[in-house]
Amino acid sequence: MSNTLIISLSGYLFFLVFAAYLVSAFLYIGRITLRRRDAKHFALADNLGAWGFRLAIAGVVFHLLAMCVRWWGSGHAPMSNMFEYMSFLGWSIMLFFVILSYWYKLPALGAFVAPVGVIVVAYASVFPTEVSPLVPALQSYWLVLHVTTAALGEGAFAVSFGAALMYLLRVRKDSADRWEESILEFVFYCFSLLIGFLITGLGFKLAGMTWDISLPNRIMHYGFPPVIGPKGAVSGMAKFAGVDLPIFLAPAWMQGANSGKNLNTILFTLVAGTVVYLLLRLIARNPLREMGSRAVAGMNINLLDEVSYRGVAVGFPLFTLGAIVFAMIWAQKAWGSYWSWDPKETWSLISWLFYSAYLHMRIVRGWEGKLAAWVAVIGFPLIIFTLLGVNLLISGLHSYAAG
Amino acid sequence: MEEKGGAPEAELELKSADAEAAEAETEAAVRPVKGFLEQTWDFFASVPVATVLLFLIAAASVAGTLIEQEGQYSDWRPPLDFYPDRYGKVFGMFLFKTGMTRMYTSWWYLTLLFMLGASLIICSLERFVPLWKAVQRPNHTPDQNFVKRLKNRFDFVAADATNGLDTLATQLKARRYFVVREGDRLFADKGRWGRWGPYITHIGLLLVLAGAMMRAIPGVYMDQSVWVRDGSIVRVPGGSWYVRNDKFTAEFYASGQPKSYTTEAVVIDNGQEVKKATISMNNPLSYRWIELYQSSYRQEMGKATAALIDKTTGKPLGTFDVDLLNPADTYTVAGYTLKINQYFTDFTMDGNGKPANASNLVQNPGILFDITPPNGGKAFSTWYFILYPEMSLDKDIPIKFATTKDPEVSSTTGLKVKKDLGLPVIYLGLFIVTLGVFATFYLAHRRYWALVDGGKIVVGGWTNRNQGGLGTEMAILATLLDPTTNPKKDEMEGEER
Repeated sequence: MSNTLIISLSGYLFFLVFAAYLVSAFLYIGRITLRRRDAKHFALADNLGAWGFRLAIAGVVFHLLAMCVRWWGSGHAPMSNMFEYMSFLGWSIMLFFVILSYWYKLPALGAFVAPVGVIVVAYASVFPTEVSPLVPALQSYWLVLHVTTAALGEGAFAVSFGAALMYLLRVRKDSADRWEESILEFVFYCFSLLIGFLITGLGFKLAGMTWDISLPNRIMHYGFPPVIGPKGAVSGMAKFAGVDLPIFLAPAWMQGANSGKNLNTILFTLVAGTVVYLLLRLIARNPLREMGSRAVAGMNINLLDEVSYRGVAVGFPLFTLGAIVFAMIWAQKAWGSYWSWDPKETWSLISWLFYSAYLHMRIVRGWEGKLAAWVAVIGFPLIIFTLLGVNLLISGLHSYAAG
Repeated sequence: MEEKGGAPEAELELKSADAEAAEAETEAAVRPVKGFLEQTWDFFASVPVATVLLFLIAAASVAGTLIEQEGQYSDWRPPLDFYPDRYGKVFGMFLFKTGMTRMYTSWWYLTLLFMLGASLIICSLERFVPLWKAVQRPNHTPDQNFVKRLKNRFDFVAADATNGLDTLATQLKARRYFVVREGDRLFADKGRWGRWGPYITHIGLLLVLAGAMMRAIPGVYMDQSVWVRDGSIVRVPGGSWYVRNDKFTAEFYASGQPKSYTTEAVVIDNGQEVKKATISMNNPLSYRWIELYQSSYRQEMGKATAALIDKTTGKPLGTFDVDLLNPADTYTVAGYTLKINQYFTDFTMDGNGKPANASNLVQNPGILFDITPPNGGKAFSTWYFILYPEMSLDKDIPIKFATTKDPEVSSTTGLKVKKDLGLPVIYLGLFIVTLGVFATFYLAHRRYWALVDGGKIVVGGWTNRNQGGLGTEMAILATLLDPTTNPKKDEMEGEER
């Protein structure tokens, strides 16, 4: 078989896996919704849960297979670009979800963690999926060791995030703090933003629609209709649905060459995400935190607390090994310096310090429980920023990972 | 209904077992007036203080990645010109003056790190002795009520008490427990290393910090670079030995992305070739505590062939080879003597219109020749630009130049020369940290106490983590020892528990 054929085979496998995760997440959401309705639906609900679990396991197995096939086809470990990292993170989230929900007999976790896995895998496919050759810095077995162990730890943190969110929804009372209520609702809004971004972004990508704006010194490729153009663009350079674009230009005080493009992406994310949020609210006929609270009503609080702690406890040693220990050894070998305060290194340290603080909080009386749960919830966006934000927003030694 | 109220029960168990360890800071708060030293000690011995320090260092590090740091921003200007322009006059200078632009070496960041180090040491010292007593010298025969009040507990009926305890001991030994029998009492535990995990981690972290601080000791740390041209030998900074570059190669993929950078290097010590190695990214050369890393390269012009041409006939008079890296003083071609008057390796004009070098690399060579024609002709001077031989500035001379063979490419490899005697300490520290975190979170310290109470045996269990795992183990043990009192229960879903 030729290499391109093998790689396209792995592409089909990735698509199947994504479908399995997506259906699994919906089954779990269906299960939890049915259970809250009426005792007579319990049998059906449990059936949905069992199928969700089977699909999740099948997804994890085939995802591993897809990655191995891609390795075989490309000749190097599939850890060298954003698509590959994010895809592996998605796999590791689903893996730890399957393990922890089995350990604790807690299928309800699926309604909160499986969607996170789906979002991460979907986000992976927003990036170019082509196989890129390995630049000299990445030609080392440390690439596999460093990336896999760090991402495994991050996957366990994601499960902790889901369980901590469930815990917060469970302990939330009507008389709760207004700030807390707003932040909880904001978490759901952020989910909606991600979903809005993914639906529109992947929609345009699958439809094969891109827009180019030619500037004197470079061509800007847009994945969304360029409503906000880069500095120096003129209306009419692009068209969408018969409208001349761009309508606005990036403000003069913004420095980055990509600021127009980034603003445009943010605009589409906000619009699409808000639409998704309002639709969900319309379906729920309530604030989303209310809907979430109802889904977890009656669950064992201590168990949710324990699962969210366990996610960090399982993930922390892996994250320490992958993102700190292996990272330092490899940095010494490749760059001759085990620590350079490169933004990516620093952000790994930040995440590591943050989760260390979480673990210490748990043994301080009065800081465990709700406060610690909030820290576990905030930890996951930090991890995602370390993985993505640093590459997309801050440049540094890890810049080969962008795009 | 299921409020957090259930939790303190577990803590109560912990307290009664390891009372001193858990109570250290509560006790400290109760004690009366203290000296400054004692207060400082208590401050650093506190877990809340350690937690806050961790958050503070994380927050400070975030700021360091958002503000472009000195030496990391991509701009050629010095900080005093760059920052006011980048962040505005007032704010930019504020950042610079407060050290925010060199965050990780600023006094207050280092102070935070130092405080964390102090907290690591003092927290560990404070808890070491109580924990030693609690883990290594456990009370095998605690008060009966202590066992009876444990949350994880089961009873089993045994005809003969000693026999019953023996069976329990056999079961626990099969599960790799360390078992102690004292009369009609039994104590068993396993996974003690799990309790030491946090301390092992802290020791590892201190080693890493110590290894990093060793840089301050003269002779421990060196960070230099050296340029070695193909075929040449250079003394390695900080060493008494030399390195020769036999050949540097840069390879690229069809897309233009770099594929590999390699240097064929030879170590020469005391005039002997002692080591041959290929240096590439991820494969440094190591010799006598110094490591050479592939970090950069540049390409220059080597040998070229030039022709001297008769201007009137347009016919070549003869050719000669010029080594642009190391040209000869004079060349003789067809009776003409060419003497180098001036040589600019990277020719340009300076502000005053005078010839100058744009860099010290051979990238645009220009030679001013003093030429003596054969048979006593009139001597003259003229420029020869190897890349632009047509640029003949002098009109009234009989000859001109042509470059018949373009200059060969001569590579110079850029090697980073690094010495860090702190590395073994750091690697050892990282190894210990790894052992420590895995011991902490992957090993649970489980303990059992059993006592005879009337016709039955009461078994109480305790663990420092994974309560569910202990519960499962105890349920299995209970059913195994006495199926009638403890029938096998169906596993329930977590949501209903």
